[in-house]
Amino acid sequence: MLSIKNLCASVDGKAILNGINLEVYAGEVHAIMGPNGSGKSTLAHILSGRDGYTVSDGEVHYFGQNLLDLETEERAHSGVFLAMQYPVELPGVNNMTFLRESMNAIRKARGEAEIDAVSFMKQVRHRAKQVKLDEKLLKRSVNAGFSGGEKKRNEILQMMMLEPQLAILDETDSGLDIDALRTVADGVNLLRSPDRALIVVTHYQRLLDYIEPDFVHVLASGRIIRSGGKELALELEEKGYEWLQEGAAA
Amino acid sequence: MNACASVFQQAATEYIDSLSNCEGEWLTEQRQAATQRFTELGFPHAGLETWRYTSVEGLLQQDFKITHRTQAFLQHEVIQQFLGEPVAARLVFVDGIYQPNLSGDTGQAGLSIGSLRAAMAAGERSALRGVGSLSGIGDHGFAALNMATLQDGAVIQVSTGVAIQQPIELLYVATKGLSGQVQHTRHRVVLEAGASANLVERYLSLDSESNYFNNLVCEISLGEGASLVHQRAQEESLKAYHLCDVHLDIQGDAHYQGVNAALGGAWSRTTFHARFGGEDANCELDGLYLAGEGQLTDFHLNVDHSVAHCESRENVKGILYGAGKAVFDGLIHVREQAQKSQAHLYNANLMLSRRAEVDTKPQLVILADDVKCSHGTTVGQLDDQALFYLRSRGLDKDQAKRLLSLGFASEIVDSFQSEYLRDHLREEIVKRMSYERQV
Amino acid sequence: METLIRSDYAEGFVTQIESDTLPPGLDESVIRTISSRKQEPEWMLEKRLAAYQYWLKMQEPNWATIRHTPIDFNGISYYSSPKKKPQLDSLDEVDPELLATYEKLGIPLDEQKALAGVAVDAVFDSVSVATTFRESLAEAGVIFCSMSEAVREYPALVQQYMGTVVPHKDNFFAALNSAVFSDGTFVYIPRGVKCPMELSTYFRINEVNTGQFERTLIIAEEGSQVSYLEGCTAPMRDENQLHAAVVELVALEDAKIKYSTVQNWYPGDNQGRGGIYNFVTKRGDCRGDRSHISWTQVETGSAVTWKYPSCILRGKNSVGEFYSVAVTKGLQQADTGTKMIHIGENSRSTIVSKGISAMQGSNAYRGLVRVAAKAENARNHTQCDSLLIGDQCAAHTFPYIEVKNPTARVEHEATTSKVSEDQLFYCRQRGLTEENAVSMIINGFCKEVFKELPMEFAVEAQKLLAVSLEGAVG
Repeated sequence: MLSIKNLCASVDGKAILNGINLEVYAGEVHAIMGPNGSGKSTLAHILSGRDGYTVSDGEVHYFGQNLLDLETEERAHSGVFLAMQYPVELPGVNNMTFLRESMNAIRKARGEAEIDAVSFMKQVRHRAKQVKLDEKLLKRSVNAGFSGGEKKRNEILQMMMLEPQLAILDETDSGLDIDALRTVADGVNLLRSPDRALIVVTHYQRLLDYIEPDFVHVLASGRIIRSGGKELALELEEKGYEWLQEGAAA
Repeated sequence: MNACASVFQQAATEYIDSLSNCEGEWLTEQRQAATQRFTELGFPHAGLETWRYTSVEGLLQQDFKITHRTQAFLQHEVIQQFLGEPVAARLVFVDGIYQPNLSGDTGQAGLSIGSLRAAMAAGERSALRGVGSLSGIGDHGFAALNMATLQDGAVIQVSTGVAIQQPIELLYVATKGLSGQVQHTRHRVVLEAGASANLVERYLSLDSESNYFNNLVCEISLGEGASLVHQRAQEESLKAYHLCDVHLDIQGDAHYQGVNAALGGAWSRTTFHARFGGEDANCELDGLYLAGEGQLTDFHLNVDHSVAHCESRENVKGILYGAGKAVFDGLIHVREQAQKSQAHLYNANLMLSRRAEVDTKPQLVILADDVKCSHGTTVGQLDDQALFYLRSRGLDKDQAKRLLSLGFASEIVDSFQSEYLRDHLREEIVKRMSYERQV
Repeated sequence: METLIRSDYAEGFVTQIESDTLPPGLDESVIRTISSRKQEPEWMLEKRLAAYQYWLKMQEPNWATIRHTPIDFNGISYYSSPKKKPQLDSLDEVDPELLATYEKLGIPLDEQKALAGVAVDAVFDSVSVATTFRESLAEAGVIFCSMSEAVREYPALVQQYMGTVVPHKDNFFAALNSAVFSDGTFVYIPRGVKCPMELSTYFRINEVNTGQFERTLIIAEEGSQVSYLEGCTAPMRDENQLHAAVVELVALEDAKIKYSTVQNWYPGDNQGRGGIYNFVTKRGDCRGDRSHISWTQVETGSAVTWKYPSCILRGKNSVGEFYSVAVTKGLQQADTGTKMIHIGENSRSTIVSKGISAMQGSNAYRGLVRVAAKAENARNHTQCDSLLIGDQCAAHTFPYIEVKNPTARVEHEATTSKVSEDQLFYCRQRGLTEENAVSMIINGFCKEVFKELPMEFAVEAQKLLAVSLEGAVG
């Protein structure tokens, strides 16, 4: 589904990613871990098409097409979803309207008909219940004045509604208490399916207790320095990142 | 030009002629140019946008005289009562004239401080060159008059990288002898790159009835990375007129933190012109004005974001009682190239009396898009519930009002670094408000 | 971002000089001619002449943050027959870009024709529509007619109220209007009557060619209510560069007037040539206790906009409101805002101003809140936000607050922000195009104002904003 080859990228002339290689197949869950500043969020942003990054080398293929050639919204149309670490506030923009417009934009791009108001409402209510998002928040402006946990639940709600092929969760666990974390993880797990892949970017292992990865990659200084199964995350938890970085340096 | 203005012009010309030429041709030329400018401008009037709410008629009716005084006298013991915390240097001015015998220690490595009159007498080119470098020869009649007939003031320079920890204090005391006169004062303060200092300016009057006109200009340059704490307390007599234009030039990475309390004067006006000369500079200014019976107080701000990445924050509060009148005008100007500027301006007014009046005008002029700017203004009263609460605890209405007003002012008073000044100002606020019979 | 389509305004209309048009220039004889052609009574002529004499002594104001080429007041023709014939025979002759804009706004074909000045066929019978409306209005006792007609038919009412809210001495453009006003609208709502319909649908079709010096007077008697809507989301063709309208509203006890404006006149070409100069004086007088006047405006057109719809809150417990969205792009300039003059006890006012500046547009909010000494417990809240799109635009905020009463509470807040990259990215990541994202964010920014518009107009206004700002984000 997703194939990243030797991806190198920089911001304002500063190299952040120094040759990332990663293959993701449908149905897999990949966890990307690493210390602060290792380039985790940069990778997530580049995959979803955020401006401000210069890709100096490498390729990213997504279902055979060059992902980096696509506009941000084209990537969304083709099923790439990014759950953000800091979801943006859109004052005055109604949450429900936003969600519906997004859904319809994606459906339209896929050649599907727009969703009718009744089934939309039904689906939204159902999903909001699953992520324990207060229905009142649906009627408010997108993320404006939401608590940290509410914003993250809203992100997962959007993900459920938009049904992406490739979902990237950028530090979704940050700022969540244990209950919220569990709810968010439950929501994500509901979306696990053989035709959908997940990339979970996280600093800590604890999210992976709830979203069990098939693969764990450790990112440091813009490179994947170690890949393994879910046991790698446990090892990291115990020993910290330093033992790997030392190993990589040696 | 009206009769009053021509009297001033004549006096200015005579004054310039009377000066010995030792201050150097350059300054004399400036004075002459300023006299010419004054002749063109005349006195400010309500037709000018920055003077629309601030009439100068009352001031002009006072017939203040420009006199050529060189001497004033005050006993040491009298000054003693005004001295607070230890200082790095103190210049005492009586009726606008520098008093070396009353002044404090001025010797410190990296700090050069003296009176403008002495600098002029000695023709100190380096000290005088900066005069007018920020203000020009005057953008309104009074500023031009100041340049034409400036008499004394302070010249302060802190050398590169030098940190002067204790305050540098300029203490102005007006005696009865100043009555009927106008005093033209100018301060020139330079902090070279990386220097830091704490400047205190105080304006006091020994007699609450004396009427005089203090016409000041203060020019402050902060070099790259310099840092200045600037504390101003204006406590002129209730019959006095006080006008001060503060010009700030803030270079890159420099930091200005000012606080201004205007309590006295029948008529007082303070204008801050802040201009950023380099990126990542920062300007913070807190202000408090108090206007009671027969007082007009005016606070003007003009913050010029001419370069990118600078921040300014201004917070000005006013208390109006008696027939006090306040004018606030704050302009934030963000120019085309000043991207990533942040500017926040806030003005709050507390109206305690039926006869009080406030005209406030916060303005934003924004020519760059990637900026965060805001302003807010409020005009309101004390909270009834709070008043009731205090009264239910036994305070009378006036006491309760004063206490709550002090609470309103405390945010600004607390920005004075000097504990002595904080205590003194609190007392002074309560005292001034107690004079009034609340209507 | 630069590549989005630019929504240029159609230009280059053909102008045919009608025979019933006075040659350019202004003197007393011109005013006499206007008055006699309109068969006005003597007192009206005298009013016009007094205003003209006063205007002669006045200077054009220059305090606003607008720059424009000097207006040659003697280069304007001050009278042409209001019943101009359509100048085009079919839509084929209309600028295709103008038609494209109509398409985008979803304007019905017949309305398109009316707006573009094309002869309207029999299907679209504005006369019969108007008649139907008139009948139901007449039943309610509402007078709704042209100003010329009112001067002839209801002279007592006109004489009693005209010029009492905006006297001819008020300002330069009001004086000019008082001397030469072409036509306009007169509305009278009798005591206790709630106007049975929005005075809008009718107006949208028939407003074309009311002329450049419009004069409007709305009188709401005790306990009456009316909602009036002027303008149109569709860009309207107009050969007159200078527009100087005067609108006067009088609300007596317990009366409520809601006045909504959508202004989308020709803004000029990319070099700023040929746009409309719109100098308007609009003022409402809350004369009676508990009276209520609400101004809502969406200003997207004109090269220069100079208008400050104001409220004089004379009555006790009277309420004044001002909701405004002003968009400037290209070389458009707007200096707009309001005055809330609190005189009556417990009078309340709300100001919500949203300025959007794009490309080289310049947008200024200028407002006055005055609380007079007798206005016990007056309240004002002002919210003034600017949204900047592009690094060459300008947004200014000039509020004046004058308080002479210690029981007043006045709050003013202003912010300036841009459409952030973060917001755009977020929307696009969820699949919206950049255009949709921008229009969504901007509609969010303007929401507080749009909700004040009559329902069907709010939708149109949203569309209008999207069309106006196409190509502006970059």
